[in-house]
Amino acid sequence: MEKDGFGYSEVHLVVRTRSVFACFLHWMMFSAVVTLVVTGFYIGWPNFYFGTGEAYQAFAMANMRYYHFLAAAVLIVFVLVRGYLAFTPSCNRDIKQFVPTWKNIVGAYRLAIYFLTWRGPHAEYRFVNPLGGLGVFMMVVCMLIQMVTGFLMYLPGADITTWWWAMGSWLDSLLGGQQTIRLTHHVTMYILTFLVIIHVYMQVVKSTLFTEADIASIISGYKIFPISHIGHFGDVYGMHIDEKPPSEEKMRMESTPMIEAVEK
Amino acid sequence: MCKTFGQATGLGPDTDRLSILNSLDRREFMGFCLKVAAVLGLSASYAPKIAEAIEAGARKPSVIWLHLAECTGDSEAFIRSTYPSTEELILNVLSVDYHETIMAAAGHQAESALEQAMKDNRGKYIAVCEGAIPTGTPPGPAGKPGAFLTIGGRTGIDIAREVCENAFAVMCVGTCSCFGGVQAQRPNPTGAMGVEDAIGVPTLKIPGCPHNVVNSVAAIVNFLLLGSLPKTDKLGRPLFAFGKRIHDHCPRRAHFDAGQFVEKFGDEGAKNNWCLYKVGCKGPQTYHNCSLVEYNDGTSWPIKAGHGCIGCSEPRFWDNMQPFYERLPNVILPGVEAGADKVGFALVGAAAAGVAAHAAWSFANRKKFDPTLALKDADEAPAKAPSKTAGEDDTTE
Ligand code: HEM
Ligand code: HEM
Ligand code: SF4
Ligand code: SF4
Repeated sequence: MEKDGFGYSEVHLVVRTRSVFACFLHWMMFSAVVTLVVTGFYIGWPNFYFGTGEAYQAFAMANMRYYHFLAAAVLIVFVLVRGYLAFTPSCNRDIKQFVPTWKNIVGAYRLAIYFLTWRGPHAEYRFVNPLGGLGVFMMVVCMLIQMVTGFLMYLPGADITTWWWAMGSWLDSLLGGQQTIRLTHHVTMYILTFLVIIHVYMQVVKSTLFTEADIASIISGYKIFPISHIGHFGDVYGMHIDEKPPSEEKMRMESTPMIEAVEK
Repeated sequence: MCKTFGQATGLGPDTDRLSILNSLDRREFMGFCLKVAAVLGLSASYAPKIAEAIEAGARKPSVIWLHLAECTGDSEAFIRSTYPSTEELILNVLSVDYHETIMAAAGHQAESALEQAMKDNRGKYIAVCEGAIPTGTPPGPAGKPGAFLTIGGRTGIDIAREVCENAFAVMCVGTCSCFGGVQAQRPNPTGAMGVEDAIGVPTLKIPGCPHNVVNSVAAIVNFLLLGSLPKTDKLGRPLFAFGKRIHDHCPRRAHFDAGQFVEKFGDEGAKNNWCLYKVGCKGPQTYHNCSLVEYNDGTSWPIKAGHGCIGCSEPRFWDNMQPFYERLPNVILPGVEAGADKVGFALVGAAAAGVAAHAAWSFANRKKFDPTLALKDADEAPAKAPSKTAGEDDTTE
């Protein structure tokens, strides 16, 4: 058997999985969420960092809230942009990988069994696998809940004559008042943290034990697969999974430079 | 509620001018009018108009005051009002035709007084409700729905329904009549509810435990001034008093923003009047204007006195503002009741433990794992061109 540039017994190909912009969005969301969890934790239970001197000289809580709202704005913008792109060809209409359709749930169940027992067959995915997709879906739901409840804690401080104040007040009573909203916001932080731990671990597992979901794929946008695995992936270079796949010859030809680059 | 009070009652301006001027000195009276203007969110220039409305308008709405399942705390608050004083409130600003605590009649006489008051002003009087309405059925043969509160042989629901349905408007004073109050706290054995929930008649709500008389008077003045009820939030609380949270107008807010907190009662922070957030202040979660008008004629209020807000003007505050000295309520799951942070740490701890266990398990099973065993995902195959795919038919060894 021939050895490829990675030292495997089989030729491996570098496959585009998402655009660089999608990667950028991921890391913006990541930074926003980390900032939100850290500052949110402080807002929930201020500790270690207190104001000294007269009240007008210190801004400990005010700063934390400021960065919380700043990160909230970043999160909202980037989640909305990513959410929009999920419906467009530029992200391969990947919304279908995330919503828990019956197909995705069955796939996630099979993968979960495989990852927990390490027995039996499993499928490999060019894009986000159904289990990861389900996790991403839950994380996004948590982020949306945080946005709604966060805004509902933010709006009462706004000018009472504005329509957004009125909308906030209406939603506020509908959802059970500030106390319930705060508790929801607080508990959802923990649920999101829980999901992020699992998400990151899953990516680590898939990057170390499989070629799939190399963490590099969320940085550069490429994954690396044995050539025999990817015929069914379709267009390797574009983002359009339903296009007619290129011939093996074409794939080899076009991916050679990349493999050579690795070899050096 | 778009009819003006004048149209609804058919009462013109009373020819007897109010005697407030005679009994109060003008300065105090104007001071009161200013305060009401402030509570209503009007500029100081409205004070003379308010004075005029009270003096000259003098429509003297007829009031029937119902005592339901309550502690009379709101009547106490009401009759301890100094500006205007009780006499003025009861004799001049309002015509209180029925109020069990302050009227002389009792027994059958009282019942006929109620009937008379309702007959005289059907559709024109204001019903003021104090206290929740129990709707549960007591055990035993005599039990019927609502019998936990029985007055003169009739249940509270019956009385409230008859009085409120024939009123021009219903005003609830105190959290009990607004949202159920302490009687409705879990497990709520008597099925107590706020008046609106129990009988389905929309009510103007002035919650608080007890309510602040300045707010109920301001609602009435709003009524006298404009002939209509004040604007409310979705729950029916007037916006002039319940549009902002305590936290939005708190005198200790500077310390909140500075990050200076009372850690426990009696410490240095407490002596310096620092923010009470960490000892359970519910000011950020409570819509009320205590910080602006204070209680007992502007004497003081909890946070000024060094105790956190307990959220008494919010629905179900006995349930979800507890524990009073913790920031957030407990999370109640089947079989467990614990603080939110405990539940959260347990959740995150479980994730960490699960990850560690899975890593160890995978390491132990590393021999079983062979990446080349991976099967292709059939679902990912292109629908349009399944044939002639390079590598499609390859089986991996
Ligand atoms: C990943 C997302 C987020 C996390 C983990 C998070 C976490 C938290 C936590 C733990 C608190 C303290 C709650 C308490 O114990 O009382 C908090 C407060 C708050 N958060 Fe977030 N949050 C997130 C997103 C947002 C967003 C998108 C907004 C939108 C505006 C927001 C607005 C707020 C506000 C207004 C407060 C209350 C601060 C105050 O008034 O003192 N949060 N957040
Ligand atoms: C707050 C933390 C995080 C959030 C909210 C988050 C969210 C997401 C979302 C929404 C996706 C799917 C979007 C897409 O495919 O472009 C995704 C994918 C991914 N994330 Fe994260 N992520 C977080 C942290 C991390 C971290 C720390 C890592 C690195 C270890 C990571 C690695 C990945 C990888 C490798 C994928 C691609 C999965 C695949 O293609 O199968 N994520 N993440
Ligand atoms: S709201 Fe408070 S003061 Fe008023 S009746 Fe209920 S318990 Fe008493
Ligand atoms: S004492 Fe309570 S209401 Fe006042 S600033 Fe602190 S948390 Fe807010």
